[in-house]
Amino acid sequence: MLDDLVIKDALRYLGAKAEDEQAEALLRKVLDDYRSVFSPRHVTAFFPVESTSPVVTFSGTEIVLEGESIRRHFSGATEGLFSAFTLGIAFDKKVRELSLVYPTESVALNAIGSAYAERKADELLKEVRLKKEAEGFKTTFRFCPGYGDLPLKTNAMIAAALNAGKRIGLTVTEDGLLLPVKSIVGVTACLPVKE
Amino acid sequence: MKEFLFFDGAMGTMLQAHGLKAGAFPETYNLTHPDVVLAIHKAYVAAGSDVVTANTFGANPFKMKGLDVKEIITRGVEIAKASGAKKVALDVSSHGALLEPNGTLSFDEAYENYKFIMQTGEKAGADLILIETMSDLLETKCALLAAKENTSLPVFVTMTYMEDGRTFLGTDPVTATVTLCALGADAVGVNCSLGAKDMLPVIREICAYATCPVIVQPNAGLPKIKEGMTVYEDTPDIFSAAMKDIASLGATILGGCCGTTPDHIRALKAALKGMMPVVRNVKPYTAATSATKTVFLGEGTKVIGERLNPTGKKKLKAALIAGDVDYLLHEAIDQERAGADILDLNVGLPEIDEVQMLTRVMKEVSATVTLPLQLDCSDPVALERACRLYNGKPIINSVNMKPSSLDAIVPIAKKYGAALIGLCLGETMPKTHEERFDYAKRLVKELTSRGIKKNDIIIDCLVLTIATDETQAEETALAVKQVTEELGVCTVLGVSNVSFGMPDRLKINAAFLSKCLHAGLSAPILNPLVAEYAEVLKGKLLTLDTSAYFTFDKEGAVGIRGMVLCGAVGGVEDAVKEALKTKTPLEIINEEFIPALDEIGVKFEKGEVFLPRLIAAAEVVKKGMDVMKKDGDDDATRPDVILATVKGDIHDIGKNIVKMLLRSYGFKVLDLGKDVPESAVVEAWKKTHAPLIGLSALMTTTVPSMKATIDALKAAGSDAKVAVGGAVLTEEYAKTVGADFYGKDARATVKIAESVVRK
Repeated sequence: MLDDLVIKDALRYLGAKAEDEQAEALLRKVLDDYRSVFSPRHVTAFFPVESTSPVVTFSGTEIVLEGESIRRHFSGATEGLFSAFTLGIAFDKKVRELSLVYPTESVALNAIGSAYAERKADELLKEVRLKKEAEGFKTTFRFCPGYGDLPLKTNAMIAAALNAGKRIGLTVTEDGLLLPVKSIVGVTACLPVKE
Repeated sequence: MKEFLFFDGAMGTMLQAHGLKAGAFPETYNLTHPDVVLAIHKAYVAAGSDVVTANTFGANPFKMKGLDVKEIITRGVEIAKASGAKKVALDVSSHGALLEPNGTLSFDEAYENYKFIMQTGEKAGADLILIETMSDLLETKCALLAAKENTSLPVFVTMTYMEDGRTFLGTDPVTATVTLCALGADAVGVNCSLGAKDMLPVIREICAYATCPVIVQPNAGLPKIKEGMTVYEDTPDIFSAAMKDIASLGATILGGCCGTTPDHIRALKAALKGMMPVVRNVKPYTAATSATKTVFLGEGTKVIGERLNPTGKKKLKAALIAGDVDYLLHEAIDQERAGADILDLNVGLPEIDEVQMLTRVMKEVSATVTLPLQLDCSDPVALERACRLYNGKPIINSVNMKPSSLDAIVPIAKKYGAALIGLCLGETMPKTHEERFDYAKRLVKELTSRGIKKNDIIIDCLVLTIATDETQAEETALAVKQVTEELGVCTVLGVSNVSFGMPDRLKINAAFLSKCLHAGLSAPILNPLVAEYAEVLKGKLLTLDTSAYFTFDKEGAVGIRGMVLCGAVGGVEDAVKEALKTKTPLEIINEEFIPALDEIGVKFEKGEVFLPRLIAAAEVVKKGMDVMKKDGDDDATRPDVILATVKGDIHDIGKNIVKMLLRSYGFKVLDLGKDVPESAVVEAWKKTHAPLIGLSALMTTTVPSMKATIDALKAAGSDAKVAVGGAVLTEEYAKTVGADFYGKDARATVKIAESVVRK
């Protein structure tokens, strides 16, 4: 099931039509052949909202979320669910290796990796969100640094608060980019459902 | 170790319990809450920790921009010392960024940060350095080097492994252990990772290969999220019971990581009370590592891929000159896929900056394939830099018995813990297996006396072509057998050299490979893409009677000319004596010898006959010429040609073939020998004013000597023409070094001599 969704997404990333059988066959082959280089890991933590104006802050952490878009996203929220996900470094190495010998497969694997990371991160996060929803909360979609006016440098703050380096091997460059390449850092707002 | 050494437990999780915010730097507490930090250290001392770890884990100028890192480290060590602990460890970890080529942080920048941390910690009074929670082997090596090169403190190193038994960057415990022990770590092991119980398989592997004490500091179980908080659930009893199992595997330095408390350490000490440290017997091994793989030599046959070497490879040469590293990466991948275990890497070309290029290619190849590398380089500066930045334990190819080679190469191998190939060569070129074995014996003695471990020595018994001496294959194989059985070290051989100048090269190589593998060869250096080798590598025995290449059809051996054509030595003396009754010596040369040599020469050029035949023909001519040679005929006083193998190079087979052929054609040749200094060539020209000088070099590294010799000749006012030749030479190099001619082979050199001397 996840595979079908991943291939559908990857087709879209490649700019191929949904009925492009040749492209689909290639993507399926690449997914099957190189699945062993995926090592998805994730880490999450909840922190209570401390303030939402002028910036969003959380008690127990030093995370500061700046910008109008995240402020609106957290309107009415009482907690933030922070998450970090990575597909692992072996994937990056395989894409680089393939780019030299089978460039087409490399491009296909890159698209598959993006799609897989998104879907897998969502799947892992969903379990945590469902638990929270069972406790009487509504959860928003995962908001990532780089969306709206939330600066990329926020990646480093969230990664540090989650101890993501030690826990899942995620690193953040000085410019706020994530390594391994297929990694996702984000925050989901948790709003209490009114009785 | 006579007694266990007990470290402390967690600091970070303890500080969080005291109100440290998630994502904040725990180390800032050294300045803001020194009393809290001190109380934690004291609690560990009271629980029985011999060593407390200063609160300096993340104190790194890279992470803590704008903070006074020096003060944070200094205070951290001082607070730890104030706890009354027997020893204080400076705590050092990762930058939290990936090193090149996986990430953007350079090795040199990381090194400078670590140097600053290590020096600050030692100055503040730390007794030892603990490098911990490492995932990247290269960053770990960088930190270890910074500690070793800038402090006199013992250095303990631990990596952190996941459920799959590897670090986040894919390093396995055997690879980390082999690499870090080779680099001189004083203790190696594991921390953080999983709970103590789940770490047993990893620790078993570390204990099997660690040549220094093993240190283990696990978490209190796997982290779990409970009510939004990270918790560690192993109680002191669960933790200490598992630690007892760990101690019985041979770990002797024990402590805890995330989630452990003074109660865990107290329980650990109680559990080990009365137990003596287990003495481990680590079997010596010969190994090379990449970041993610260890290859052990001497356990089955290991193939070393030879294709990343420009000698005799036009496309690779062009790619190197153009800086097209992708081409080399392609070659690397092809070899890995064809089953190579290790890749030899040589980028030596006169046109390129080897210092820069070797490291560049080394980094890119390492990032692309998983195989360990064999750095094939004789420039100590280039080699040092590549060994330093190499992610793992490389093999160095090679050192020989020349003092200059020993002095340049051995210190590099020792410092970086590389395995080192000792080539059976010195002032002379060995011919017999006894001479080879003698070199091997001397190499082992000399290298071990200079601090190289015996198991890190790999002997190359030196492969010479059978084209000039049919016995060389057998002699080399015998030497391999003797070295393996009597010296007990691993061996390598550059297999394909055996057939240089021969027909059916692959057939000869495969048979030679088979012979050497059965003699005990550990690792052939060859082209893994050649199908002919695959069966032999699987154990198929191949024999080849090469004598056929050296016995020529004597049917046509009629007359002097026929004898030359057939390489029939017997009878030529009588035939020449007979001919002298009716002809002058010059007539015999012009009418018999030279036409025959020309004919065989043309066949050689067309590939119809091979080197053995050409040499045999020259031998026949030499025998015949000796008959005609009068007393007083002296090559030395008025030579037509002066020949020399240039300084630094002792390969003279090619030069000797040229000499033989030139003399067969009636040229007078003064041979200065091999490893000839520029001044000797200049002197010889000054004395004789020979019209042609021939210079030979086999190795890329000695091509510069060729240029130096030509420059010296010009400076001395020489008007002699200079021809250059040798395996690595090309028309283009010949121009670069300032030669007048390029002698592609012996035959071409004869033509050059004819044009210069007999114009």
